[in-house]
Amino acid sequence: MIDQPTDIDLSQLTQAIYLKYSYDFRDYAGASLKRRIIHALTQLKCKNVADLQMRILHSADEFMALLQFLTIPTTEMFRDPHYYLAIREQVVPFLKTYPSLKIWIAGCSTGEELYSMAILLLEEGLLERSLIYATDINPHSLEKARKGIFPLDRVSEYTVNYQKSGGKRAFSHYYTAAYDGALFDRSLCENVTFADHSLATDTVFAETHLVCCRNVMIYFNRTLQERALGLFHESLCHRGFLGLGSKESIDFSGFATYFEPLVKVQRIYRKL
Amino acid sequence: MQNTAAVDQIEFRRILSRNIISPLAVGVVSALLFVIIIFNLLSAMKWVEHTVEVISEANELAKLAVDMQTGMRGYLLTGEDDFLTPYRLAKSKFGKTVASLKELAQDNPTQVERLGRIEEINSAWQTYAQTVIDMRRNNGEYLELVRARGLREFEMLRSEFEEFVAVEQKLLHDRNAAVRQTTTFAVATFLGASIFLTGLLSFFGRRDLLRLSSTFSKNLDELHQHTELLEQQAWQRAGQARLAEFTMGKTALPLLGQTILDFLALYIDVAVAAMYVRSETGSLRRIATYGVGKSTDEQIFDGNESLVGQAAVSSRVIHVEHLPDHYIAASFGLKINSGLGQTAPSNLVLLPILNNGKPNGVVELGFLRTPTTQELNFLELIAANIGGTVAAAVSSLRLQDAFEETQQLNEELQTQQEELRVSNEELEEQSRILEESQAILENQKAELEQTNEKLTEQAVILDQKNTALNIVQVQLEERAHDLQRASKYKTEFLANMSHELRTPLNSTMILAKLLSENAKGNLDEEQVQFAQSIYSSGNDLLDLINDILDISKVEAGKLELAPAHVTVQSVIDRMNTTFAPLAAQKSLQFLTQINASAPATLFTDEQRLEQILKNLLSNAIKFTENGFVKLSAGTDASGMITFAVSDSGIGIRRDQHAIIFEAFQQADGSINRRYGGTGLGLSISRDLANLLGGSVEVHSEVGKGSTFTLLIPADMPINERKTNPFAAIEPFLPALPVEINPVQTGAPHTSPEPFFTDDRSSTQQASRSVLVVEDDAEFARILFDLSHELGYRCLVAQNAVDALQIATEYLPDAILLDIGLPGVSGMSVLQKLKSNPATRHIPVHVVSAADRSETALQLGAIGYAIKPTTRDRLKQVFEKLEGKFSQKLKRVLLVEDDEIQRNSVVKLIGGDDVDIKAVAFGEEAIELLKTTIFDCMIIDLKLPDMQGHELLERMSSEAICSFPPVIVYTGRNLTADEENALLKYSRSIIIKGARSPERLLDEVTLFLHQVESKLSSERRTMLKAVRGRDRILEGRRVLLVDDDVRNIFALTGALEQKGAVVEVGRNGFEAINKLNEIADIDIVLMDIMMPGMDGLEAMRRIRADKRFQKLPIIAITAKAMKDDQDQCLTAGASDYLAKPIDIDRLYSLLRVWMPNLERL
Repeated sequence: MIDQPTDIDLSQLTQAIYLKYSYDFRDYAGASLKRRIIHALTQLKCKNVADLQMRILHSADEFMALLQFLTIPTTEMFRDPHYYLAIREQVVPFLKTYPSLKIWIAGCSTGEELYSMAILLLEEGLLERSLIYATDINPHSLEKARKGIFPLDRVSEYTVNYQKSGGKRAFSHYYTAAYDGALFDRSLCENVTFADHSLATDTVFAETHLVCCRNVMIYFNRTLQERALGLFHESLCHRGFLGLGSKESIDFSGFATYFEPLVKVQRIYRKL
Repeated sequence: MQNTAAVDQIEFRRILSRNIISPLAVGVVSALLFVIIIFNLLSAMKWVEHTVEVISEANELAKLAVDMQTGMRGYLLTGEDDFLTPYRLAKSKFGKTVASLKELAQDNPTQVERLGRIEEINSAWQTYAQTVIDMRRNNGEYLELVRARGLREFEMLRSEFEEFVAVEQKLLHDRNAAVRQTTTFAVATFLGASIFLTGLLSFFGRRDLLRLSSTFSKNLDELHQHTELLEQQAWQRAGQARLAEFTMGKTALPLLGQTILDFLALYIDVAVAAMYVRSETGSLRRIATYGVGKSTDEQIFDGNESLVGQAAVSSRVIHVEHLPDHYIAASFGLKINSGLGQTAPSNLVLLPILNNGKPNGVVELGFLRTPTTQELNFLELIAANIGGTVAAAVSSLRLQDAFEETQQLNEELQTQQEELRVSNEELEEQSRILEESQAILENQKAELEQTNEKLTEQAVILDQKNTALNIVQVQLEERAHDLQRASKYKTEFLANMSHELRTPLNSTMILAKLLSENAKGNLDEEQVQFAQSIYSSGNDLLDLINDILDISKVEAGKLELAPAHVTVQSVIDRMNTTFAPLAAQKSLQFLTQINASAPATLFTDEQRLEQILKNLLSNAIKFTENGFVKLSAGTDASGMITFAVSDSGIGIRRDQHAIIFEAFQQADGSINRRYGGTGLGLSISRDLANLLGGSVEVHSEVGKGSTFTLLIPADMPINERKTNPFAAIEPFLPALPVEINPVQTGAPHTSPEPFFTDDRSSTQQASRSVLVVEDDAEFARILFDLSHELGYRCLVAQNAVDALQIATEYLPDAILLDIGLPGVSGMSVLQKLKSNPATRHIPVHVVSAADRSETALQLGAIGYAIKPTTRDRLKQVFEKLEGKFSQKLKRVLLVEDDEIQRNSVVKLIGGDDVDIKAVAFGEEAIELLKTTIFDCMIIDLKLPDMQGHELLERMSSEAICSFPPVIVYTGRNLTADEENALLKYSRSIIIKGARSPERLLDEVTLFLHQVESKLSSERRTMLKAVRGRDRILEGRRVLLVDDDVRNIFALTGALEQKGAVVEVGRNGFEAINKLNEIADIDIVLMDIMMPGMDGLEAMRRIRADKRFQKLPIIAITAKAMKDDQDQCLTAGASDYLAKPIDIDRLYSLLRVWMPNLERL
């Protein structure tokens, strides 16, 4: 029913998107991107990539629709609780030595990661002296993150994660349940800057002490991963911290020698 | 017509040119002729004039001759000189005149000749005249002479003149005649030719003009006709256009028909008309009439009924003329009706209307007059238009019907859609759920891919590490081997030495014994005492030598064991016999005990067992001043036989339990002096116990005595004899640097015996150390002594390999390097030191006999001294080295009021190269800053005398040496304002907490040591990675199938360079054979175009074999077309590579396709 996209189709499409909308998907991991496009073709009812390309080039709305398929907003709060535990136990003591903190949540998606970090910082007494940058390329996701409303049916799962991550209070302390959603405390976001920022095209905007970029680089190819790591390295202060997703690592990148593992299993690194 | 006109135009042009150009040409020709005639006449006239001139000149000459004659005669007659005047005048002019005449008559040689004669005659005459005149003047007899020749010459002259003139006259006459003749002829010819040509031209011109005029009139006629035709066409077109205008937008058939008929009536005076349209049934139905009365009702014709039907069937206009009245009325009822009456038309036209060439109706027209041809043509012309319009109307009608039908269907659909929407919503809900799970799936997939990639890379790295490990392993083995050999040499040496020593010692002892016996009685008591001392010392020495021999035997594995069944009781008894007296001597109680658990006998080497027990017992007695020494036999929990020797002696400190078993070690250095002994006993005991398959354990407490327990198996395991004492030592060998020394790999390196012991193992704590690399022992000693003198710990290396190893291991502060080392040159040592991040900071000074200072300095040596050198010069070298490495001493100022904190920070960051000044007060700090330059400053914000920021402000305003980097180390949280204020002076603010010391250390390190070797270490890592990638080809077997020798050569070279083993096949057959013959081919490079069997076929066949279905095959194709590449892939290639082959691309393809590295 749908014409299988070829590599040429994909590269043409990504090039077109780049030229028209400056969203750079050209260095995204090929296989994953292909699957996303195929999925988008079905959902957007396009016959083939050329069709899709024509549509998105002529309508920004269509492109926004496609963008929702290209970016993968799958995340949860306190995902990999041990990661958060490690941050709490291994990184926070260092962070406490800084009079003020800047933290960058790169690819924050719909904000679960961000709220998790904010809660952690709050409990560690660091939130008020922290400035958090939450960035993503998808404006819809950012909007969701800004709202801070998450589906209620997942909160139980989050609660378990939170407890495993070394949470100090009751998780319900941080949200108000209403209808089908859980609205998280606005004060968590007081020091958060939401920004549209692309790791593929944009550059460093601030010196930071901790960068969390989890499950973002798995969708990138090697070139783009290198670029992203370069940005993080540039952004991090001397001896700053970098947290990656459980399947990501810097071991084989050109930056392997610029970081030392702090908690290797949880992919927490420290700049050398 | 056009054609004729064109021809005529060319003709016209031709005529025109003929009639204009011909007369013009004739005119020009006659003018030319005329000019020629006139020129001819002119030249003739010139010649006539010329002749006339010659004649007149000749006459002049003649006159001159006469004048001379006359003058002479006058003089002769009168004798008066006056008569001579004309003579002289003429005489002078004569010559000139003759000359000019000659010139004029040049054209005629006869005349010139004649003139020459005249001149001669004249001169003769003149001679004569002069003679006569002279004679007359002298009154000579001149008359005679006159008579004799007086007239002769003159007559000759005259006759010549006459002839001359006559000739000229004749010439004149001839010329005149010729001119006249020519002129007459020319005029006559000219007149004749003119008349003839004029006639000819007139004749042809008239003919042409007549033709022209006739053509012109014909053209005019044609033009007229054409205009008429155009007018007709215009009329028809206008008609068509108006018809179209009329019918536009009219879709209902009756209205359309009416409109058409109205138009026709208007346009071509139709009196009465009807229109029939073919209905769906095929019959013609009347749909409109014009000027027809009521009586004519609806009319339908089927097939070819009536003329109307006939017209439709035959698609032809039917024109019926001069109809009788009744016929029309009866047949068609097409009567012209008006308010006043009715009449029948006289002419009838039946016009079939056509749509796409097919008739779909008929228009019947009645005229009161005969329609013109033009009108009939017009009708035919518009037949198609009308047909088209009608057809459109018909189909529009149908469309409307269909539309209505659709509308109805649509409504039905809407209801169905409503139903669908409901189910759709359900589906959407499901799809949302599906999508969510798909996103999760995608995430997992991407993660998996990532993991996969990581794993692959990890595998590669692991592989590299494995290889490196293997190499290290091999090196370790070599080292162990070397060590083993060295040790063997050592023990052999010791063994030999002991024997050599014993011989002289033996005689010494014997002689000393003899002396001490004082048989002759000639020694006094003191001398005897001396001799006894010599004997007892000799005995001690012998014991020592025996011990040494034993231990070396054990170590060399030379100790022969003679296991036998031994009775425990007998062993204990023998010990009792031996040691009871010794114990008694020291007033010690000597106890023996055999526990019930002890077996009666055991299988072991009795001699060695007793040796161990003796050692232990003699030690026990030696170190026990009072109390007891006890030997007990038993069996422990694990079934080992135990012989425990306990005493109540001085005991051994716990931390020395291990040391006492080392050779030449006793628990305390001072013990040696108090108790004597070699310190070898326990060492030997342990080794022997090992040999017997057991061990020696110690339990001891200072002051409470010790218990040494010998544990041996009841049955000595013969095959477990440890002949290689180094097996246990191996793991403790220092790890070699992973970097492989290429020089080393050739032949295994064996360290020569050092000249002397350097400070490697000395415990002496010198603040600085120097490595001396020197193969000349004497000079090495000089440097060694000098460095000691200057307070250095000195390490000595004799060759390059040792030098590098010591440098990496001990990291000396400075290195003195000789260039001329055995084997590897000092230069390469220098290079290696400088390229190793760990050693590059160590200053190296070269001291060498060879002058290669420039290279050395370029490689990074700090100086170069040439041997032979002086002591002072060497001291300077050391100073230079010291100056260099002591620069690294960093000064840190710590301002902290809390003493504990201060000390802890000092401890934290203190080190050999850091000089810390710790003060408690801000004022103190400022004072220090005024005198000293600090590399870094650490301040607490809360000081007793001022606040931290106050101190910083003071520092910036007061005169201090330099403003060092400041690290603020504070216990309290800062507000944003405070932080901003501090950030002016300090980039690092650390808030004290659990991890703050670490961070402090980080920051201090950052300021103090901008780690020099960082970059190069990174680069090294990178290089390693690259090397690692290349290694993928190492040892791999590549089958290269190609028929081109050059290609084979080039590719083989490239592949072998990377360590691959290349097999070559010249065509498909060979390739398959090779694959069958050689089992472990990793990858195939397949050329496509080959003789015999080509690459495609070969790949198909290879793939057909089950064994080779996963074998990577890279096709090499010279064609770059997509098709060819597809072909390759279809035929079974894993990938393809286009010629000309880019070697880098080949490597990367090989890397990609090389099967994973199980075999490496």
